[in-house]
Amino acid sequence: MSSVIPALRLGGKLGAGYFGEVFLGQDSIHGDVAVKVLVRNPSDDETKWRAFKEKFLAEAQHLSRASHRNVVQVFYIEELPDGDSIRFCMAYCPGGSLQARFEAGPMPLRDVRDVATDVLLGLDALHARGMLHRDIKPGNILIDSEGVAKLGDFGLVTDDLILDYGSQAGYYDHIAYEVWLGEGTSRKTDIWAMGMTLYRLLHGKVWYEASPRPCSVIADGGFADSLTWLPHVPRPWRRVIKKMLHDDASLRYKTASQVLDALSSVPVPNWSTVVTPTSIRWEQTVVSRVRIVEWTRHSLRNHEWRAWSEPLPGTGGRKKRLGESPGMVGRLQAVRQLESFFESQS
Amino acid sequence: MADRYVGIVVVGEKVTVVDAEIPGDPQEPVVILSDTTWSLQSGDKAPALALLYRRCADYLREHRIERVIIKASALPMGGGVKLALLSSAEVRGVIMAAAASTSIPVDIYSKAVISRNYGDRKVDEYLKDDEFWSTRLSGEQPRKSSREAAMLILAARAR
Repeated sequence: MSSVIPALRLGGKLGAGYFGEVFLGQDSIHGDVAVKVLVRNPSDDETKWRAFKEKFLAEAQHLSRASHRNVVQVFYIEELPDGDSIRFCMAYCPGGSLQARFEAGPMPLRDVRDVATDVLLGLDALHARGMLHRDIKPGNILIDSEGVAKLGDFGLVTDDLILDYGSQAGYYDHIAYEVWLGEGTSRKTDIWAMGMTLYRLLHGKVWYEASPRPCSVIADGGFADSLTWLPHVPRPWRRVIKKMLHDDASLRYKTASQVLDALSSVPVPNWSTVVTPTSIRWEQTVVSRVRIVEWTRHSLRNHEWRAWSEPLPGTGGRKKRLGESPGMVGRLQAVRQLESFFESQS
Repeated sequence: MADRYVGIVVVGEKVTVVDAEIPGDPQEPVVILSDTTWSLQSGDKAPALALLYRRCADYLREHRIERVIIKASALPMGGGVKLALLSSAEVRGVIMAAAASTSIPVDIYSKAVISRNYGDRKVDEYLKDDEFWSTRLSGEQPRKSSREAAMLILAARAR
């Protein structure tokens, strides 16, 4: 971390979170930077704020050690003269966070694996340095100007903050089973949070929010087996994510490196997926043709699907049927048929 | 003062990595800290090799490894060179480059070098000898398939 704090000019607001607001800034050394301003909560008394501030500034030492290609670099941290705020200046990632990608819909399998690979390399490095992240979620994965995914907001969340923070910062769903039961965080709880992140990125917001919120069911146990999967997500992916989300931490992957290995052999067919409340459409381009699958959810009980291929615009050929449901079928039947169809296409 | 060595053997597209602590006292057994396998990612080969490079360099840096020993390429006994052997050599080359990029000393050992450095038996005999392994190592016992990587560490220690 730089010991000299360069002149900083604040620009527009990039976003806001539990700890404060983030602005685009320009400093004389690093050029474009992201500046997070942590402001004293009005309800915090002087003692509480001082304790938080001291703890946070002590953590600054950790942040300076978190230099890695896949971790957002924090350049410097300073306490502002008003005494009620701290700001820290970090690398600006123009690609934004994956929260927007999650909200836009399911990400293609290959993209998710690429992101996971980057993040797991960063996480493995942090863990090797004896550090935990405690806040892995799509919103904390940022994309830099070269398309590299980086873990951001490292070091802000501590064990005594996690439940309160989680409830207000979109992290509740990422809190591992054992933390709900009162245990502390660990490498294994970071792996859980990463598993939840992968599940969310593969499914997108609309599908994710159609199921009960994870935070309301995780503490009941058996969460991994209760997940509902989009039919194109291959079984090896499901096995990896379910293992990351196992209730028994001893049965989860031990290290981020083990997750990397597990993901190294998963298939990555290039389906693009659009999910709406009533239909799901997949498209896959193969040479000069496009395969299309449509699943229409007429009601809770009535579903139908069909799949066909057709030439790309401007190329010759005719439409060809690839499969379909035998008329209207139940949900479970539609899901099974679609899973078989996708398996047969890989 | 203990040192930290890593022995690496590449077979096909799998990389076996044995990480060990070498006690300062030469009479003390080597402590195995981890025995892992890295697999080449499926899909396009170039990015998969790039990933392997990053993983290897990261691992050596983050775990503060002080010496790396990699098993050298060897021609197959009595057979021609097949594509799989060339693929394996590609992976080995990437691992060597990644290790060298960290500025940690890197040694490349062939079986002949190991035999010259260590003991009075052939390497393959040591690899099969269960009793040998139980007395020379403490900590996590390496998988049988990882003994060759551990052997690199023993040979480097003896050198």
